[in-house]
Amino acid sequence: MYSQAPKKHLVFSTAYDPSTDQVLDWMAAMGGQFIRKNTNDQYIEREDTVLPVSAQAEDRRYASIWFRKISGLPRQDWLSGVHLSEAAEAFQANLPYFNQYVERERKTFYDFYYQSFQAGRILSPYEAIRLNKLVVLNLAASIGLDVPKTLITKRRKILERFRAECPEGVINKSISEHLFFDGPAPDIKRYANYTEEITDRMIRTMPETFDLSLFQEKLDKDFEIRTFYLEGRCHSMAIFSQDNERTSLDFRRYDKSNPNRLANFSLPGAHEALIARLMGLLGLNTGSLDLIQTRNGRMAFLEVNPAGQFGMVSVPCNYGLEKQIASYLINGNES
Amino acid sequence: MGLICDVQRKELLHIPSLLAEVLEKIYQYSVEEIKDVYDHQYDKGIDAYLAKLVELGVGFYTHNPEAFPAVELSWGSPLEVYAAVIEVESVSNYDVGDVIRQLDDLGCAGLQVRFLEPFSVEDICRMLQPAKDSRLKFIELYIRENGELEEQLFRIVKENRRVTTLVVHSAGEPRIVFPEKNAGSVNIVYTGQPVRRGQPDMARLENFVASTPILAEARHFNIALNRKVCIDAEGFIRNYVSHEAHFGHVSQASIRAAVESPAFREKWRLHNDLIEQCRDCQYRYLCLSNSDVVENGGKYHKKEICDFDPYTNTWHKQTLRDQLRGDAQNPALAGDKRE
Ligand code: SF4
Repeated sequence: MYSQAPKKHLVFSTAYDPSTDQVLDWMAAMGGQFIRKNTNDQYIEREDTVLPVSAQAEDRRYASIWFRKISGLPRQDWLSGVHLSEAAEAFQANLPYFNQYVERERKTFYDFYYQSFQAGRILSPYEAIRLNKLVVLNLAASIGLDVPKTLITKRRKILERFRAECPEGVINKSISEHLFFDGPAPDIKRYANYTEEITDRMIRTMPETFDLSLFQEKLDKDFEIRTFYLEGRCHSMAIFSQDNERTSLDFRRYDKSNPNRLANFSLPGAHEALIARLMGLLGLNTGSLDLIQTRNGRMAFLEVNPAGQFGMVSVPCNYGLEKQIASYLINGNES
Repeated sequence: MGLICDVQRKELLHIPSLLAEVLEKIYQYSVEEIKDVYDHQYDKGIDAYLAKLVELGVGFYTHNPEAFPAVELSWGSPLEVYAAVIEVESVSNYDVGDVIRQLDDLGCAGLQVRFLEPFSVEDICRMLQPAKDSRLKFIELYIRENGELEEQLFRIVKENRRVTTLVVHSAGEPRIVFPEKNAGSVNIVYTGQPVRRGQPDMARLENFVASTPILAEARHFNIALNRKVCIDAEGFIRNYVSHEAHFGHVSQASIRAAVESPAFREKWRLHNDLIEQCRDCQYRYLCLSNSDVVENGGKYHKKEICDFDPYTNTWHKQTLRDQLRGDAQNPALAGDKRE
């Protein structure tokens, strides 16, 4: 039985996220009561969950939920420090497999945990946040967004043929999320696999076959577009990167730094409508989208990031997105 | 003179007034139309200047100007009070802890504490105790040299993670002491300069920082006073420690009542576009002069004399104001006239 409509708002974030702080300041100014759970804290680990959790469970019902940021599971060797008996050797020999198992156990729990909270308004529903990039690209193309030609293959021959169809060249990127990890102490360098151009020379030296890899046509980029989408509306910014000829000229007198140049941008109405359609199909009511404007007039869609950084668009463009998010969570509409 | 505020490189680009006038039209007219407006008298000059701006990376040409709307300079803040400056003297007759609790209640983000007299690290930590679990995001401390060892001073930072700046004033030779490894990132800055009662923050070019939120705020508010509240050495609530008007003693009046009073907020709203001289100054959307603003025959003026003259575009090094302040700081000559 429902007693009363829940009054409190629930925010999942991580500690030290200034964007979250600002939204919460606005929520407080609007008279909202909220609970913030930092998903990188041990705090969440301490929560016991007794099944079944019903939709009526008072402690799981909120006026709104904001999945600002969910930190990944900690990377660790789950076996270290565990007391092992005669099976020790077998476990040790299958350590990576064992670690995968523990992570699956935890992930299954968390997938349930986050979905077990109920609210009238959720930015964005947890089930929708886990995106498959290929599904997104496919969907985008099917509704009429311009998507760069994309190939997934294991064979050099196929890649060579694809290369011939891409006049500007070919790039390689992750099929899923980027990989990054830290080197050993004391300098702790960070390694990551960025999007990389695959030159013809590289293709020539590749083996006949390799593991599944994603290739995309390289675009003749004029500038990038970052769009923050919130409840039907697009808030966009153009990014002129420093390798752009327009900005990489003479800086002798005025050369402290050469940052990417940012400008308020407004997408053509037809593109805004397509983006709203795509987000609707994905079940997302917010997210950050990457697009590219090419020199020959194409506006290509690259990807959706369901937990995109809105601060990097909101602050330079003065869009006040922090207030709009707070207003949506509290009142169900933008200010 | 005109000014281009490069908010990304945090640089100011001084430009002739005529170019500023041209740039104000650029969101409305094409380059050719602008040349028309000036009867083609300045065609060459306009072309040369625009080319220069493109070269400097602060502009670009486009055939599609509708796609690049101007930044809309509206401004708002969820915080009733954003920053506070409090003076603490040995004779202070107010409770610093209580002030911090009141500021926390108002959601204050930044606090500057000016210890005018020497205090022990022990005392300072005790006074700052209520800040530990507060919503304060950054604390700047100005501590008067007390002969305490650096490791003692670092204890303040260690005990209070929100302390982001630690300056020891009246300390002889200027120097900077860096923390040991893994002891945080806050340095101790020693300065020979003293911090005195009612010390104003004057307009100084090196203090002007261009950022979009500040430029937006400056269109609507006095950025040096907006959402700010100060407690002077004697415990009086003021817009700024050097201002004449006070809003009661903090042991009797609440800070909330003070900042909610119309007279207090009036000073927040008097921005440079409304103030004589400042309205003609190219730094009017950056200037951090927290001088009091006085009305005279329907016109507003800054009370403190500014070092900059926008009409001749010159900064005065040694001004009349400095001399006056020198006298004012000598109690034998001036006394404390604020009450
Ligand atoms: S004239 Fe006014 S705006 Fe300009 S520097 Fe002086 S106080 Fe600031």
